[in-house]
Amino acid sequence: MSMKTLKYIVILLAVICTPADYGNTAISGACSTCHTMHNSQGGSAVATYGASGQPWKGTGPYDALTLGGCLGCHGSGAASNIDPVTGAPQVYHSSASADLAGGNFAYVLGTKGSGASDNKGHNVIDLGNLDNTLTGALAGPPGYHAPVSNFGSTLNCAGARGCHGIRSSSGGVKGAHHKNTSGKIDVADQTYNSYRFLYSVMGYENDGQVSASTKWQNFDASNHNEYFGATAPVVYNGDCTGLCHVAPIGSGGIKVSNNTMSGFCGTCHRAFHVINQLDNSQGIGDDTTSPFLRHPTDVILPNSGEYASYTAYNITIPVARTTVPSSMSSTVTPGSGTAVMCLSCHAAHATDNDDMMRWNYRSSTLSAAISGCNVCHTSRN
Amino acid sequence: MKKSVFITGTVLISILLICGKFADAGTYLSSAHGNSTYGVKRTASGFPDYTKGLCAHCHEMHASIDGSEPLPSSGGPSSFTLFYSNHVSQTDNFCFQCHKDAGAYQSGGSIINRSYSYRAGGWNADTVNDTLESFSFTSPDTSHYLDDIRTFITGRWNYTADSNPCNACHNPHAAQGDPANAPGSAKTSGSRGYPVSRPSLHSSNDNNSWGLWGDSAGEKMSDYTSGYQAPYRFNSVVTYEPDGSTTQNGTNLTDYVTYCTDCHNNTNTISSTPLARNLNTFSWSNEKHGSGTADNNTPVGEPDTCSNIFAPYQSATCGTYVLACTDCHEPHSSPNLFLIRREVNGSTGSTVTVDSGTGSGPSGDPNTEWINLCNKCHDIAISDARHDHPATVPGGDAGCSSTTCHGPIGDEYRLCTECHKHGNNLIDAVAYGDYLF
Repeated sequence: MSMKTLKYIVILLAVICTPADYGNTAISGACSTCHTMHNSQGGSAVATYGASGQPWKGTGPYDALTLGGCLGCHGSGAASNIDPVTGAPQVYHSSASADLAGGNFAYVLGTKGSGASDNKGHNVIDLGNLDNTLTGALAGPPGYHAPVSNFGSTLNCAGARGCHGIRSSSGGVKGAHHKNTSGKIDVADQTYNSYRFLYSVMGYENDGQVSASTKWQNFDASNHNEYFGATAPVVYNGDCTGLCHVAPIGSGGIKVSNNTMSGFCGTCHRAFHVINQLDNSQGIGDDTTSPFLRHPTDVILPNSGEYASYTAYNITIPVARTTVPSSMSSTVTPGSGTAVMCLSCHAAHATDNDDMMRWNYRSSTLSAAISGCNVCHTSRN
Repeated sequence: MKKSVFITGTVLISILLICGKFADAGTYLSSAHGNSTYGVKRTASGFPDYTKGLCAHCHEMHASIDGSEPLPSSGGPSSFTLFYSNHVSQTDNFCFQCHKDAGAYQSGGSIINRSYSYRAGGWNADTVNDTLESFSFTSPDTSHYLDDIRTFITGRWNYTADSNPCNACHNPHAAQGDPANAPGSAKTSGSRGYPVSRPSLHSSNDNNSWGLWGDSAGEKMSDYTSGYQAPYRFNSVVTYEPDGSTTQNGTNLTDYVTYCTDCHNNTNTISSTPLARNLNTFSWSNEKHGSGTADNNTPVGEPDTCSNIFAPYQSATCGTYVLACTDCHEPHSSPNLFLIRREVNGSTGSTVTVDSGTGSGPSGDPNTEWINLCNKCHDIAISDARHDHPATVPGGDAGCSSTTCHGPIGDEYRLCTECHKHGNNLIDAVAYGDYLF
């Protein structure tokens, strides 16, 4: 081996093994941290990642030779919101420490919080606990558009009936971890450069810019994700192509056209988000002005009346920005660039509250029950 | 030692004051709907057992709970995210889904709301006990006509065609019971609340700027005039409206004149469907019962006297009194014409159900019914106590013998209200428009 070749190998290894900074959170480190070639070591299965006693802790093998399924790596059940071995963000953990921004599926199963409940989170099939309410005649995501067969009876983390990655039968998050981009996400034409691998969604990811220990969290007013919103929600006029569906309809997958977080939610919960020009009862109303038929999302927080008082960012009720920001901001500017979104009230994965609310809407103490509403509706207190 | 005690005390008091400030309930939590003990609470099959006062009892963020529209189901979402259509008709309105005495969605199945005569007048024999019942009155009974209210407010003061006409008078996120949480009782000084908000202060999205009217300094009847005299409470000559106390000067009464004249004044045109015409206009600043100087329109040579006015009004101050609208009118409805109260100035019998008569009057004829109201304060039942009329009207009990007093058909006697009405510029000598009635 020549000296020149040796130098090249050293540099290459250095590049590969250098821990990622917040601007590049692509997977790094030893391959064996996440993959197993034969799922066998000393005659025993190796692909055993996951919380003990939970159905997602299996023995493999798994696609892409990983050591677990989605929850295998992201649901260790340990007392930490970041896996100390893999560094993977944990969406199922028992730590009393803060949940990550999307929430914690442990609330659904009751291994954390005030008790198990199906309506505390998205009942992804990996949890092994299907929703007992949204079944039968009520099957399908609330607000969905018919037919319900579009959605099936199960919800996955990723893939055709999931949230993350390309939403087609041949999609998923394949390859995204290795190419993940971070910080400002304003391209979103691939899974890896979409916000949290939510294909086509833009935003600004909190990947530890302020503190490594608080990354992936909505930690405080100046240390949180920034969500992308719009001045108007998706307008449905009967043409599905390009709006939410990638041609050809039925096999091309789902890709929300306005790149917003709320638009993304609306790809399943359509009636809760869109302006439906064919039937306004299947949307928020006729336009972006009050009165609304449903609580609007992707509309500007008005700079008038009670709304004008929401000026300091409140992580209990996060708002979206209508321009993808280049940094986090602790301020809210009603009337300009600030939009209400689905995640203003709900968490994506699960919370300890009914309907995945960010605060205890069912508190027996009225002031507490409306405390989230009062962040925007400041005079309804 | 004394210094340390002083400092410690100051600190403790400061903490208490600060905590007290934080503990203050806002406009909504101080309202009847937002009360955590007796506030709004929807009860319907499958509807969650949310705590009282929660927004969700009226508003449905997605018109969906657990995958289906919660009851009552109107087949889809409703405007303002309400669980039912905001307004349909005089007897079909979102508010009536709870404000009725049977079959209400409010926990317990009913909400009792009494008339003004009951609450302020203390006339607890009034059987009208819910808002839907009030607005169900039809001719010859009268009720504030909701469709007309909606038409009138649309385009004014941030109201739109989608607005609920009830909201012309009430801010649902602020309105309080008066008396508060005591539907079977009249008001007392210790149970006061403030149910109304001025329409001209309505803001579409600020609950504070469209606050209550009457609850603050500057919003009392005593602020409108120094000439207010509270009427008696029912069957009493020692207690007064509106709360049965001995207060008589309007310091405990909402300035209903300013409130009502947001709409009912000498400039606004208000179309009345029940009357099939526009309401006549008037200026309370000029009315005899308002701020205008009251006299007897005395003919030359006749004495000007108020000697036949009933207590608590006094002859010595006759001419300076300024009445509140609610002294004579119910705000919602009445079995009488023009929302005239059935109990006025301490007694009932102010029955006015026929606006025009066919008899030959004056006594006992339908067209003299207005006397039933007028004589609650004016002693016009005795011949020599009648106030003087213009020269065209003879005194005594001869009635209107002049041809100028006879109506257009035969020998009918004219109604009191042909002269004695809001907006009669002959009496007020101010040409400011047509009559109210």
